[in-house]
Amino acid sequence: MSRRLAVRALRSPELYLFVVLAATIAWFSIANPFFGTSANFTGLAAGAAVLGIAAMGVTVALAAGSIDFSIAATIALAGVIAAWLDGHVGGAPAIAGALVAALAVGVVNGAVVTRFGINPFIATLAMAGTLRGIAFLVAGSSAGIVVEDGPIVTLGQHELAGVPLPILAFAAVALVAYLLLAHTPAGRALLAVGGNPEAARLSGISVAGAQRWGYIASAGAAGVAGVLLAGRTGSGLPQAAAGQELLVYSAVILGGTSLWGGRATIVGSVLGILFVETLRNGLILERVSPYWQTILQGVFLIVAVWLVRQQQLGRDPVWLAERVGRRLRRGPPAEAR
Amino acid sequence: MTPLLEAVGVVKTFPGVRALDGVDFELRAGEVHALLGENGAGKSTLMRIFAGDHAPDSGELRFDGRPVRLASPADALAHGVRLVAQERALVPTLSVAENVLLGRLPRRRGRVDWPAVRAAAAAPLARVGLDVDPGVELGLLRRDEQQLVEVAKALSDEGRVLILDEATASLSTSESERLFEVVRNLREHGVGIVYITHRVGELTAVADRVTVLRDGRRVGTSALAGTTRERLVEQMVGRKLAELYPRERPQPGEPRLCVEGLTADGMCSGVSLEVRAGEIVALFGLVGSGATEIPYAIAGDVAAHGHVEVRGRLGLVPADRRSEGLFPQATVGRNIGAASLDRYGPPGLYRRRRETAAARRQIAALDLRPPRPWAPVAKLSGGNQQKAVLGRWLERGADVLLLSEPTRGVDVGARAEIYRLLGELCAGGRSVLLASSDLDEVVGLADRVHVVSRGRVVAVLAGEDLRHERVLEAATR
Repeated sequence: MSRRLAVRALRSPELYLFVVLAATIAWFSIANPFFGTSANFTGLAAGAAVLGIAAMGVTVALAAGSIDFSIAATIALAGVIAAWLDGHVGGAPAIAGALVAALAVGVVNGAVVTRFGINPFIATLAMAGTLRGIAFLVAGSSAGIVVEDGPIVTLGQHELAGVPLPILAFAAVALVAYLLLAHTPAGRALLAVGGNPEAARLSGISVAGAQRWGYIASAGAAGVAGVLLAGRTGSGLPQAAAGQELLVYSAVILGGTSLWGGRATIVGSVLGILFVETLRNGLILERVSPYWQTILQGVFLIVAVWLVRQQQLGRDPVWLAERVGRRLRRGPPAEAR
Repeated sequence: MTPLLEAVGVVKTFPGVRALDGVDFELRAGEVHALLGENGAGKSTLMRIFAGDHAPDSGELRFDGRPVRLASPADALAHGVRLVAQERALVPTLSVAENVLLGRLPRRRGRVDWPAVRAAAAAPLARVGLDVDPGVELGLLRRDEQQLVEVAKALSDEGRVLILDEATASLSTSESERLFEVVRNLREHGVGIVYITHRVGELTAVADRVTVLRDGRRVGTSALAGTTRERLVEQMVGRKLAELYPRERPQPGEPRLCVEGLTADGMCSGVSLEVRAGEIVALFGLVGSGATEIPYAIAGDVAAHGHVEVRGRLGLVPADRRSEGLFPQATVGRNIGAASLDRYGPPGLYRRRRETAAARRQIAALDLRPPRPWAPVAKLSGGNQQKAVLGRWLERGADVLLLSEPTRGVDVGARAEIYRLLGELCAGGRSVLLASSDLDEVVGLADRVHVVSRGRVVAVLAGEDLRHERVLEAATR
């Protein structure tokens, strides 16, 4: 039993990604003395928190097979709305208003996809453009809206017991998402719908309902991320997070969540986001030019996804050890089952 | 006594097909009512109506004599209907235990009670005799094991109506025996069981009454004791079985396909066979045996090692017409021309006119209906779609045809025609390797049958030895 447990642990994709992440951190720590400092790690984690929260929502949505490419625009819209309301009605109602707006985006996305049967890629890409436009309209210019000191800035920049609040928020959202997927009937229904909609339907689970909740989760998380980003930068920028949805999706897929639904891991997504942010942070510290940064990020990402893919295909460390062992014993190849 | 479940004059039409045409059906508590019929007879459609998956166009459903409308599978579940569907209605990415309890996981204080899930799944899994770790991911199980999980799922709570749709299709004899035991036990407890099958032989083991459907109509309902196997088969197909298969067999010529020690991971192992010109050789195995995958390995579609020698050209007619064989949005002509696109014009160019002319020739040779190259292939019947796929390889000049389940989802009339066609192709000197899980088909059609079990050829039967019982006995050994 203990051996089986050990094999299972060795085969878990999360452990594998953790090793890749640890190796990357070790590499940068050797290459740059500042990288390993606690100040840098704190900053890195606080930076990762914004996209990390969005990634939690994306993971929940992907569990049900709901693909949402409007998350980056939702982040921007929530930030702009929070900043605008902040100047008119004050911080706390502004935060609430931004979150309500984000949830509304999720409701509309879900309705468009499940009720009108529009392809999710197209529907959410169209939504992304629309939201970006609304964000510019609200902001009035691309300079954005400055957020004065208040609850929003506090959320984005203050610390509790030495830990920046965004990190705590990330941890809280991750915990909620983990509990939802692993321990609630609703979360299991999402995974069932993503894994086989037909089976879910015949088991009395509402497929459209699960997909709609998926969109609400991804948009709601993006709303939280947007408010935090506005707080961190002290302004609501309509072009905030542009293009970052791809980063979030790469991190989530890297973590082991399936783009086609039915398989979702919160731990994997957290590790995936940390990996992506570590790469970015390390390259900046190495004073790699921004052009090269994007190139290297792309290359590293492909290598990392390839490594994780090998693991998913069963070519994991256990497989490697068995293969090497066989080679050493000169035993025959495994027979077909 | 009021019947537990009744269907009265149920009509269901799908685009282009009248699947059910005024069918009556009645199920009493504590009986096993078999529903017998060929593919396409309407059995599965009727079941889907009982399961709340389809709504009938007209007609009525009654539970305990009271009319009901089932708007969704959830409604049917609430009425106590449990369906074991033919296509595995399971989630491959979730654990076995969770699949068994899908849609109604035990909970405590709003959270899933995982220890309770494992405990509640253990009993139904033991009942069907499945000995696997309930925590393991379902997708890692063999197909026959998944089928048993499906049955366990239907048994996991108190249903009043249990519908088994071709439940034994991928089970071994001993597993089927255990399933019958479970069914008899449920009958004792007053559950009404609808047992759908196209295997007449199975009925004596379980059924009390039997209803035969053909082409969406009810041919008759009778007590099992009051009927015979021959009569049921005749009701089912509307003609005698022997008339289906071509009689004349040509003298075999040169070897055309030689396979030695073909091995593909997880599919087949050490398969050797030979097909001569003019021969029909069959690979028979129950679903999950690997038989129907062997043509793919020979054609090189899956990584395999071993020795394959072909004299001439190979053509592969895959098992799943819709997803592997056809270009469903295209016309018949383009489906036929798809493997020969380099022949319709000067090098590097393609002339639609030449493709259409070529398609016309194949259509005439195959007697494909309607005889129009520009007809959309999706509108054709199953048999004619299969002819279009065959036509593609004949157009390419294939000498050796590899077919996997060529008559799955094809009605009896078209099936006879495909058999006749294969007979003609062989008479013309071509060779056919046919992989099938249809016992009648391989015994009726083939010169030689290689029986496959767990990816290995366990017996080769020909001539006098080629009889139903011998083949089945070898396949389930």
